[in-house]
Amino acid sequence: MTTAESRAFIQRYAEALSGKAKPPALVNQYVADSDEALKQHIAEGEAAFPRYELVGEDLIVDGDKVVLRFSWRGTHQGAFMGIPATGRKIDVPGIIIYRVADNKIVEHWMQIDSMAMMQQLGVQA
Amino acid sequence: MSIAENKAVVRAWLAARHAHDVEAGVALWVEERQDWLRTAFNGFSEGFPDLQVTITEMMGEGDKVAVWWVLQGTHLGTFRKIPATGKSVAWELCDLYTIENHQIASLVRRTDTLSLYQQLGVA
Repeated sequence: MTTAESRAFIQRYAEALSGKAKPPALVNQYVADSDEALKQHIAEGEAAFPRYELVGEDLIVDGDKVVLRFSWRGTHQGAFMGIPATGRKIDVPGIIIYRVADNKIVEHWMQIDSMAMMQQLGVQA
Repeated sequence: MSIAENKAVVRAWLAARHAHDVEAGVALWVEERQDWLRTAFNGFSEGFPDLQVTITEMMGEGDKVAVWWVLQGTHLGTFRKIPATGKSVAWELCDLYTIENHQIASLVRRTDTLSLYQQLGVA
C-alpha cells in the first residue's frame, strides 16, 4: 500500500467504527485475523462503552505503519476490567500504531492513559 | 528538513537521555522548552539513576516523529513524589515530537501510567 492508501484506509476505518455499533462482521472488514488482540479490544470496549468514539487528533504514515493520536470517548454502560457500569463518561487520550497490509490492520501497538481512565471511572487506582 | 533528519534529532535526544547527558539533551530542544526539559530530565534521572533507553519503533512524516521506546531502570530515588521503592521497571512510552529547524519544538507523550505504578507496587 502507498502512504496515501494507508492514510485513507485508517481514516475509513476510524470513520466506520467511531460513534457506531461495532459488530464483528464490520470489524473483520478492517482487521485481519493476525490481530486477534485488536478484535478483542474492540469487542470489550464496545460491550462496556457502546458506540464509543475514536476521535483522531494526529495521523502519521511511514511505510506500512500508521500512527494515530486519538481521544477515546464513551459512556460506561457495561462491565469493564471487572468494574461494573458506572454511567460515567470517559475521554481518554492515547496513541495507536497500526501496521497495515492489503487494506487490513495486521498488527497494532497501543498506549492509553489507563490511570486517567480509572480516575474518570471514579476508581481509586 | 527531511524525515530522516527529523528522526536523527529524536534519536540524538533519546541517546542523550540514555547517556544521562542533560546538556546534550537540552540543546536539542527549542529555547522556550529548555528550562522545562531540564527539570523533567533531572526528575527522571533522580527517580531512575540507572535508566536505559531502548527504541522499539520510530515513524516520521512531515514535521512529526513518533517513537515507541522502553525505559528500563531501578527506582532508586523519588519520582513524581513517590519515594524510592527499589523496584526494577520496564516502562513503555509512545512519544510524538514536532521538529522545527533541527530542534524539538513539542512533545505529546502517551503511556500506561497505571502499569508503571503497578510495577512500583504503589497502585
